[in-house]
Amino acid sequence: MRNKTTIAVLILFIGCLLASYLPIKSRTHKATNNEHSINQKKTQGPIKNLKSKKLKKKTKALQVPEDIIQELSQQKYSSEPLLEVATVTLLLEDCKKGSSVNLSRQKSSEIFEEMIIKYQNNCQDILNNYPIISNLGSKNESEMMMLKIAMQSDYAEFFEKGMALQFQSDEVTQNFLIDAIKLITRSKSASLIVKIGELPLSLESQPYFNQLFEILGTINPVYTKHILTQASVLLSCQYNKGMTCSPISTYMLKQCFEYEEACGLDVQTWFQTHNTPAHNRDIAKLVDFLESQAQ
Amino acid sequence: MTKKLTLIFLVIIAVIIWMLLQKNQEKSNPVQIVSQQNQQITETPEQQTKAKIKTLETEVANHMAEDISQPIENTLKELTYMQLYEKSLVAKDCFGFYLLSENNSYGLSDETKKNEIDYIQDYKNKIERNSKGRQNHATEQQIQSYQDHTVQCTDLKTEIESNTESSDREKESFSFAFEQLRLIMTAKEPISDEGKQLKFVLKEAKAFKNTTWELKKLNAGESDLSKQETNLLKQEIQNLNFKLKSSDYFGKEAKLTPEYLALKKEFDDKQAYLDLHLIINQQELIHHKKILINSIAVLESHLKTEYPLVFNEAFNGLNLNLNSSNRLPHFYKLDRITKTALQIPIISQQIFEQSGIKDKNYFNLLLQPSLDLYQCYLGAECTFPNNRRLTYLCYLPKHDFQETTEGLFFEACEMNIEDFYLQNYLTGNQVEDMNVIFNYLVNNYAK
Repeated sequence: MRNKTTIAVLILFIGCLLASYLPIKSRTHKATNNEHSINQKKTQGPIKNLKSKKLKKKTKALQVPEDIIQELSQQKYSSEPLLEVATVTLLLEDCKKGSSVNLSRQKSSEIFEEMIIKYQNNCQDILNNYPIISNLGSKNESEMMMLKIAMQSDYAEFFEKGMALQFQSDEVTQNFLIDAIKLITRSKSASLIVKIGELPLSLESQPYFNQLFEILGTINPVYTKHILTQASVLLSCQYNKGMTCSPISTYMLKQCFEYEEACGLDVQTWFQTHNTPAHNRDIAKLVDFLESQAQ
Repeated sequence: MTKKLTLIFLVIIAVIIWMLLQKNQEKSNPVQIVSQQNQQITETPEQQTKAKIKTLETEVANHMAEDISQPIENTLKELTYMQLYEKSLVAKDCFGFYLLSENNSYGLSDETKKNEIDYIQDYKNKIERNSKGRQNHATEQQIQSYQDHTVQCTDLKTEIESNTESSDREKESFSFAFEQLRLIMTAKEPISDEGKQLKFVLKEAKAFKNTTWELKKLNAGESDLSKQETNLLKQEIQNLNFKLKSSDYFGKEAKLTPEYLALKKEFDDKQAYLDLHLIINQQELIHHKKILINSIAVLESHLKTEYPLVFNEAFNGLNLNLNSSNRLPHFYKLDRITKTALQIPIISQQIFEQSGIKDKNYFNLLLQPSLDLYQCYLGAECTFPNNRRLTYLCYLPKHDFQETTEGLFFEACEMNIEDFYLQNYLTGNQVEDMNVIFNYLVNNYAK
């Protein structure tokens, strides 16, 4: 079941990320036609350069509180404040999910209990390290905070476009998300990469899925999505010291809940022992593809 | 000369007027579709629906009038057991269509209700909505196949209705035709060996399912508390569970607060109190377990058959007809109460354990193709449109496109099932693992 908050955070983030990567064309355009405005940007800072009056009005009220800026300067996950805040938000969201797994009365093996305690301790560490962000409480509050940070970037206008796409599944959104996958892989942020399979990338994204179909040699979208999810998890292991793949990662906690023998293993070991060699070969194909997209 | 010219001129004028009149006529009555569209703009949705129903009634009446020369009275009685069985399969495949038609649109959105009469347009829209990226429109073959399907379903229902005495309410049910056919089948004696095996397996599968339900009830036990008290407790437990699940863990450390822990304790205590007052009739439970084990053995023995249809029914029966390849394999959990937990290993779970494949989701995606190819191996029809799986894959979604990709592979209309699976549907790597399951089926069940 896709979690709406996760998607919201991802889209918020994607909006931010796209804002800093995509409008190269418009940048060039501006540079050739309006050098003056670019020079102004450099001297006046990002917010003052926003062209839209609406945005100007909005962003006046959108000042990121000093204490949050201070908290993000820890740079535990990224030197980029936007990546740092997106990672923390997603980690906290996962902590909430992990907590709800524990509430199920159906399964409570000793090893699972042990893993969930470790998992909760890890969550507690995040809470302790980021008390202000984690105390924002409601989903709206944390989204607003991300919005504020995003609005301070150079391309807030583009970011606003991303915001407007929330929860729609039209072609524009799909194309937006397809570009986002490339950008997420480039971000080298484990907690974002691990979510690629959870993106609301509907199967209507014809060109993207056709590429995946061709690589795998299938026309089955269900299997393709399944492999894409596992490939994104495996790819994420390369970044942020493998935090999304450790035995106490959310992915492995879920596996531990489902399969007792997964408890205590990291993702790589788990895939090696659990999946058939043929299954792993399909996953590897999409890992290669995602990596090539990041080039 | 002048007269001739005047005549020619008049003829030309007449021809032009005639042509203009023709053109105007065409404009004022330009094929039905356009006039219907114009009507729709001015008509209310209710009027539109009525009009559509009227059109359908006329179509059905015309269709029936054509059949007057071939009376369908009592045709069912003359059919063999196997012919009735084949019809019952068609009736099952028509569930989706029956649900769309008549007044059985409960649960469907208003939008669907409005369109339900225009089946073909409705179908085209669904294909467009669910195209999964590979095709934007239904192919001609898909549309034609679906059109044939709607005619087949309509004919079948008419035939069943004229052969049985049922109330209007019964006739409204989407499963009416299927149930009636299965009822007639119970009274029919099969002649062929295949028919005899089939009848036996269907009866056993039904008994097996009933026993599991009986066991479920027995296993849940009966509380010695009053009904009122039990209901109250259950409600309280439900409320507590909701509170626990919706508590905001992160940020507020809710899970570690005394308030949270008190809630959790209250939840556990109430659940334990309920469990304590449950009385389970152990004798009855043991008796039914024996019946169940016997049923499993009987059905399992019928997996070793030369008839693909018998194999299919025995397999589905052993799977308790949990007709979803996405959720299998799993144990059919009879009850969550751990102290008397009773689990029935369904057949797909057994194959899963034997296959050496450890990932359930991965296995699930391979099980159905393996079963289909095994039935081909036994000699089942494996080309379109005689193979039922291919019809599902090509144009016929089983559950109105809910959570399924079936009905969306136009390639399936053009090849046999082996080629479709091996060349289009499965990756080369999947084929390697599917062979393991297929070989297991051959080694264990093929004669």
